[in-house]
Amino acid sequence: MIEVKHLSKQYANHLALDDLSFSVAKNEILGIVGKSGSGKSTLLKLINLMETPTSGQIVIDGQSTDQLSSKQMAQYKAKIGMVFQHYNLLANKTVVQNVALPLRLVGKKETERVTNLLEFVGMREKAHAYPADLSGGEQQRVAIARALVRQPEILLCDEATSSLDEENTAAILRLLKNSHDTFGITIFFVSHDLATVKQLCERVLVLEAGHLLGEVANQPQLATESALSYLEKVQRRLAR
Amino acid sequence: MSFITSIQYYLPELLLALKETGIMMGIAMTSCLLIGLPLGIVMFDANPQIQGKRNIRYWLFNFIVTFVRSFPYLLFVITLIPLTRFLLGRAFGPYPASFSLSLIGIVIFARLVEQVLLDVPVATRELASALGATKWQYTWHFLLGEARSGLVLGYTTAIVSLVSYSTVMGIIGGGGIGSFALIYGYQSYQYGIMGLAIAIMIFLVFIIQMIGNQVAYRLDKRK
Repeated sequence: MIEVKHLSKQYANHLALDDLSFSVAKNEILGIVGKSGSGKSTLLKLINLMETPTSGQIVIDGQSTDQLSSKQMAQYKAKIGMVFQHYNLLANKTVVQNVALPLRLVGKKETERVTNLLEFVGMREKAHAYPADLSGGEQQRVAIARALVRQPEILLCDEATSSLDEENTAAILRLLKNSHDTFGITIFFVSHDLATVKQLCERVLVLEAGHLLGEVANQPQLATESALSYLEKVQRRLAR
Repeated sequence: MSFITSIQYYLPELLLALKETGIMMGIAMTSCLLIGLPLGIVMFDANPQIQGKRNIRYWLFNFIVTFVRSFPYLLFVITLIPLTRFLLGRAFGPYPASFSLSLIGIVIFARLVEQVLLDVPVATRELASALGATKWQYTWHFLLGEARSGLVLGYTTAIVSLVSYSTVMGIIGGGGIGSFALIYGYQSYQYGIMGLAIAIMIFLVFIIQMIGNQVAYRLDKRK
């Protein structure tokens, strides 16, 4: 269970998040939509301890992240995988080196796990290629393998499909769903594109200018008329 | 004296000069790597673009590097004579000459390292932060790994500059190929010998640059 309690983040000249509160169940796929600058990416950075909140807290399985020692912080980070919009692969490392990197940072090797993950994301044959030799979709597959290599409990996807075409987007969404089903991970899927979020997520939070505008369940059995019309309204708002 | 006879006549001096250049360059190039590289990393880390604010650490390093680089080199060598004598016991000869050459090499390479590291994409830093990399891990696995071809080119540029700087070391008895060209070529009216010394230096620089370019090309997997 992940609880976000009254979370705020103030940068030098703008308020990125303002008193945000919500909770996420274990193994849930949560969509977070909002326009550029709505605070979606900041939220993920706060969850991954890449930034510190100005106020409020994030509680995971009963433990607040602001009380972690440096050792606990490293353990906490190992529980989280992150997928970026522009893949963030290291250009001078091969596919297999990129995927193995998070393990190297904690002094592990686990070659078999890396190979299995490359197989899982369908990139085993390109294990020794460099990112420059891969398409966008392939690079994102590698990035997902890298995010999964430390067996995380939470996967943060920051606009993971925004740089991809329709076909690759669908493939990456299938891969994320598959990862969720296979490894039982909780996924935070951030996007500005509601249509993409609706394909993957069980519940959708809508952010606007750092505020939680609303949330709606996206499960087919809960897709009531009011929920659907709300999402449509959100879509129109995002399009503006 | 014909050109060939001149070469035969001055060959021992030429070989000695090449040895002196080798000593000075070897020491300065090693200092560049061992001190210039870490200094460049520290400067990058302190850079306001990275820290998000101005800070005294960067101001200090920036001042030292700019000050040394802007000093007219010949006068820099002369100014350092007392310090060289104090530190090494003597101020003349190729080993003491390596001191000032190393200093200039260190600051040149440090500045190049800082600039190359600033070109590493922000996404790399973001990834390191997301993966919980320590500062050391970030520097080794992420920064230096991604900047390696640029660093090799920077090092090559620093070495080429050192070849040029080493030619004035005759002023403090450092000898070397530049000094040979002046004493046995220009001052002895043996312009052929001077031309030969210049050709050797040009050849050296071409070889260094070619090796640097090749290594950088092989290391660069971004294309």
